Amino acid sequence: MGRNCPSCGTALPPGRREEFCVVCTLQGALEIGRRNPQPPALLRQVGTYELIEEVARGGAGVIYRATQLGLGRDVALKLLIAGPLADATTRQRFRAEAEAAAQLRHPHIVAIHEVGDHEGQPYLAMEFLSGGTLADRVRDGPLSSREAAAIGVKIARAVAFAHDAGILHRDLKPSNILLDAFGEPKLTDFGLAKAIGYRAEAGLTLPGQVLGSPGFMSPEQVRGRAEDIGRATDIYSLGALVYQLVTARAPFQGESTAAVLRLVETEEPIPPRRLNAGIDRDFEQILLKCLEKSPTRRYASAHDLAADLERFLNGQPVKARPLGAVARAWRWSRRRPAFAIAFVLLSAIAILSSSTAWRIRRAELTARQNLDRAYQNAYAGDLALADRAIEDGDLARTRELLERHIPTKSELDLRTFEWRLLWNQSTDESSAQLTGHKHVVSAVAYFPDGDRLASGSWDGTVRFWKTPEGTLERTLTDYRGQIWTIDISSDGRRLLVSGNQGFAIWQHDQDWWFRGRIVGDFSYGTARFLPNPSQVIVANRQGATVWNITNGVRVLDLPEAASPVAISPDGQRLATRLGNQLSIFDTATWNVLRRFKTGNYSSFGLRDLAFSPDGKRVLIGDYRGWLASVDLSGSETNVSEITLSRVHPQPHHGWVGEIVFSPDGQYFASVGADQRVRVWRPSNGRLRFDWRGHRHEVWAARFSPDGRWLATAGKDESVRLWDLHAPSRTQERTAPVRNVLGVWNATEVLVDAVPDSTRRDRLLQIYDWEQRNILREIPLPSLTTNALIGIQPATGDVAIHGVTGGIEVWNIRSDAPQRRLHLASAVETSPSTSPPRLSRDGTRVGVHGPGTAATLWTIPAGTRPLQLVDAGEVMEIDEQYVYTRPVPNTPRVYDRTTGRRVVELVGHKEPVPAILPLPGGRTVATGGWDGSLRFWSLPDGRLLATTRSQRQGIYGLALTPDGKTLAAGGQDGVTHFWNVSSRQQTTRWVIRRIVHRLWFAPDGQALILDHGNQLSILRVPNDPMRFSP
Amino acid sequence: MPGGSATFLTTQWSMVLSARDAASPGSREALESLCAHYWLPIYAFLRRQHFTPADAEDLVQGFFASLLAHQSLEAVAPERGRFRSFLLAALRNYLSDQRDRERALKRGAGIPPISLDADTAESQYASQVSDGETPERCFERQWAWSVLRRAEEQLSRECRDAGKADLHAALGPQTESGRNESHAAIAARLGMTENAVRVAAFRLRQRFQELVRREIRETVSHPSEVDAEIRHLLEVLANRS
Repeated sequence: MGRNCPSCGTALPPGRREEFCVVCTLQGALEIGRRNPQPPALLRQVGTYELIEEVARGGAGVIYRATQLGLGRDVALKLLIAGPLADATTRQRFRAEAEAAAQLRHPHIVAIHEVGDHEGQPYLAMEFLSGGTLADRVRDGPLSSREAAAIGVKIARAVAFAHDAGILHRDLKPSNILLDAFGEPKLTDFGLAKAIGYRAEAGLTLPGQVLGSPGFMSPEQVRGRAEDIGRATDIYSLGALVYQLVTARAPFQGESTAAVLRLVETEEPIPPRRLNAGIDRDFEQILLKCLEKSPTRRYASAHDLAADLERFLNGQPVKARPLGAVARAWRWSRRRPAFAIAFVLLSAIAILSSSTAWRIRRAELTARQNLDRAYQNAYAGDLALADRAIEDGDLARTRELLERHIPTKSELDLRTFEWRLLWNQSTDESSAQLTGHKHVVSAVAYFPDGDRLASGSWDGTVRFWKTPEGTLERTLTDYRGQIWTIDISSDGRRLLVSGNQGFAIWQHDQDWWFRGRIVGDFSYGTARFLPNPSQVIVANRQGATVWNITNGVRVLDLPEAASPVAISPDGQRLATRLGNQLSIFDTATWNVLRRFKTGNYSSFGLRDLAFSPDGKRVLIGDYRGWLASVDLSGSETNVSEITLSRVHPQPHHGWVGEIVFSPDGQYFASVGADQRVRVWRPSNGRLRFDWRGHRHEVWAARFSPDGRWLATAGKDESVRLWDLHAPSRTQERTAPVRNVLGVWNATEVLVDAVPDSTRRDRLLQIYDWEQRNILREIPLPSLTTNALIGIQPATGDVAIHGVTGGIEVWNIRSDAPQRRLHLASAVETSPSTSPPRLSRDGTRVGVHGPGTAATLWTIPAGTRPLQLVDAGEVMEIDEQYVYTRPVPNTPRVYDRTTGRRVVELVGHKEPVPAILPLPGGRTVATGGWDGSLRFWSLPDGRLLATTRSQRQGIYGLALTPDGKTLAAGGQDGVTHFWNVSSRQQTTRWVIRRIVHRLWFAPDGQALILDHGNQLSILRVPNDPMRFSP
Repeated sequence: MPGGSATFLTTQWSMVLSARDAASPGSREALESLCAHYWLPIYAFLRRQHFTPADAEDLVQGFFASLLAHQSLEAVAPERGRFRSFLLAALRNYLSDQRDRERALKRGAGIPPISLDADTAESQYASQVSDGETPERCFERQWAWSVLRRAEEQLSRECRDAGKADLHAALGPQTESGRNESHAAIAARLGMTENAVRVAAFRLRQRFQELVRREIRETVSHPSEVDAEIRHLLEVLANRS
């Protein structure tokens, strides 16, 4: 026919619609990539380096051992994890600094081969050293003074060399000193290095990194004063480092990061000789001089330190001298100005002017604020790392990061919603961990009495465990090969095991005895007892065979059938893969009863099959992590096309290990490569439990006969028991609810039940959406058309704009019949007008109009309303300001007392649907369709920070009731959490549905997300018992 | 990652590549699945090398059998970036081995590792064969079409699951009998507004592009390579016309 695509001119094959021209389609697919860039992950090759294994991980990045392709040499490759705020400028600056460090060639500095950039991610290739770190070395016990001093000299010389080149290290600690094969120390990780004289922004820009090693931080770093950081900062850390070499501990230790930081700032280090009497007195003085609080009292240069250490090694007198009593007193008063002032006031009131006292108190306040900021940064940084750790499935690491922020009695508790969210997710929710196997545990099976369970492993053993206690009862060692499956006969007296050394039978008479084995390779196989107790079916990837186990005779071959196989509860049918098809056999005749064509739903991907207890369906789990249900009673025979109804968009990431029904058919469970144990309701396909605890792929799952327990096992070499009666910790639930006006509490929402704007009567409902109960109905008669309703959950106020003659405000929280308040108004509503807004304190209500203005009333009425000129839509009212939106992209702020415009927030490139004043009244956050979250200071409207974590538009913002955490939701279906005081992102919650608005429940224990026609709730109960290590 | 589901960055091909121990079940199955979906380009390559249909079929099966037995994975390390390049390199290795061994594999020996519909293969090949094309180019072009076909099948399945089979028939990639019905006519026939049909057509096209992208992603070792692979396929297809 010779048709061509009208857009690109490519020839179209016969029958192809021109809109689907292949060239245009591929170009469209490219365009999608431009709109949604993929985050970097799963790197295997970076530049010319092939990654071999991860060798270290820190706040700043990950270090891999890698091979340089072409040269074939081993290198250490460091990839920098850009912080959430890292933009092109940050990366560029980092790169510039790394390049500066790369120029340092010194025998005691790790050589940098290359500073490169891989898909926008900077990396460093360094020489690979095999001797571990000084931190490893000191773990075995303290070094002698002389050994430590000798290392100290070398490191001090290296540091001096860097200083002379104009570079500060800023993160000296034992784990940053690598040892070569001969034990020579080499300084590495100039990750935080800065050129001397470079003026850093205040605060700590890379919190995870800096505060990953608080024990080695200098007081000026803790205070976060960039201008105080200089050569002396490195000298302090060098002193702390050598201190640890001789005492095997950092100078300051505390129960949390915050505690350590406080000690660094306020306390004197314990003199090392008190920790290790063998330390030489002169050497101690050298260390204490390094650890002086005041930078000016430390060594003037690293050269001086090296020289003093050499003097000590040569037996010469050192320059460091102990302090006198006067100096000590002075130092004390400097650190505790308030006490000092009190002391001085008492003793010499007459000579101290009050202005001095004021100045000193100011200084104390600033120090306090800086310290608080450092804690907040540490908290946000650690949570961001915990978020990453949980993504990696590393529960232990997540816990470690979270535990740093469990406060002691005197400390500030920074934890809130997102901390609990991560804590819950990192909780091993299993009731028992059965350990002892030495390799993958590939199979589990319950005995019919439910008191015991058997597990089979690649270590070749079968173990019997008492349940639910989890005590090991006995171990059968006869198999001697990799066990892949086990099954127990219905009378509980026979055990069938298959694996790479054939299949074997044990029998219980007085005791268990090994009856024998049929040799063969049944890796990736299945073995099951058949209803006839003397027969078993054994399958691998090539075929299935029925054996008589009493005489060892091969009864029947099903050459095309292959693992997996499943037997129906009544024993009469067997489901298996037959060629490309799912086939159902009659187990009496071995005729095929039904075939289901699987088409592109490839049979190769079929991982496991399970019959429902009523025998009416078969569930399929596949390598993609999908689950499908096949209706055996239906007439459809084409699995891929019609009968395959998927239960969930992505039940597992990676393959499904096993699927299994509970005996009563109430649930089915699936496990998989993603380490998850998930329990579903077959009736509606809803996820009932989503358990974490396994530390590696989960291969096997079985319900106990009473259906209460689920036993799972896998590559982490454990069997775990899960209690279906235990309450789940983090619960996400979803229910269909439309037209939500606001949230009363976690379960009660206020709904506009008749949202028809043309009607003159409407209905409000207080609706318990979890129980699906209408708790109260509030009819709204005498409305005008286009009436608009606004609510303020904090007070229970409802404002209706469009009651005949004006606006009405009343309270529906109080049981007293609505205290109605009528506000006369000339403001007409139209379909484009926005709903009225109420202030949180219940004293103001604002509406859009007349014209481009907004009107603000005081409640109770009395004063004349204020007109806000050109304010447009009212978005939010706090104690001081009214936030409005005259044009979609540019919010404005008005003073709520005078009605005057304060400032305009200019910067968003697309409409701003969300404005949220932050606690303190001096900062406001805005979220835009451009995907950026911005923080502004008030009243000057200065942009404090712009962050772009969301890949698509932000539609809503919410603040926890304690004001500590901000949540942002929008188009990308991911809720991002931000630490308010440090303005850093901490964690995320993926829900995969657009979030239009979101609210925290007033008790702070739940987050409610509005998806337009559905609500989801994410519950994170605040149960203090749970949050202890 | 927190939440019900993480960003899924593992591709089928990366699963194959990252499997350190060969026993890891996911990797083998991912490879099997990839092979099952991408045998047609191999068949076309072999036919273009003047193997008879029967020999080509045997060789495809033999090749996959050796591949799945992990005999060839290590051999082609430098080509490991994308599944497409890997497959072609592995196939060349296999063929040179086979020639040495006088093509030992004969029809019926062993169990075919993938189900291969020889008639479909031959008709697909015959309908798209182009004179003077090198076997490699033929492979690449068939590859591009296999990707698109997979996406088409997925689109069709999604539409049916969503009860929109009629819309798919009216607006999908393939027209029956080549007629291009106007949006107005479709609207009238399906009882929709014309605007709704236009929106549906746009969405369908958009979804198809996404599915193509997703399909391609499964064949590369890292999602960041998707764009380069699309550009390569574009080049392959553009050169044909």
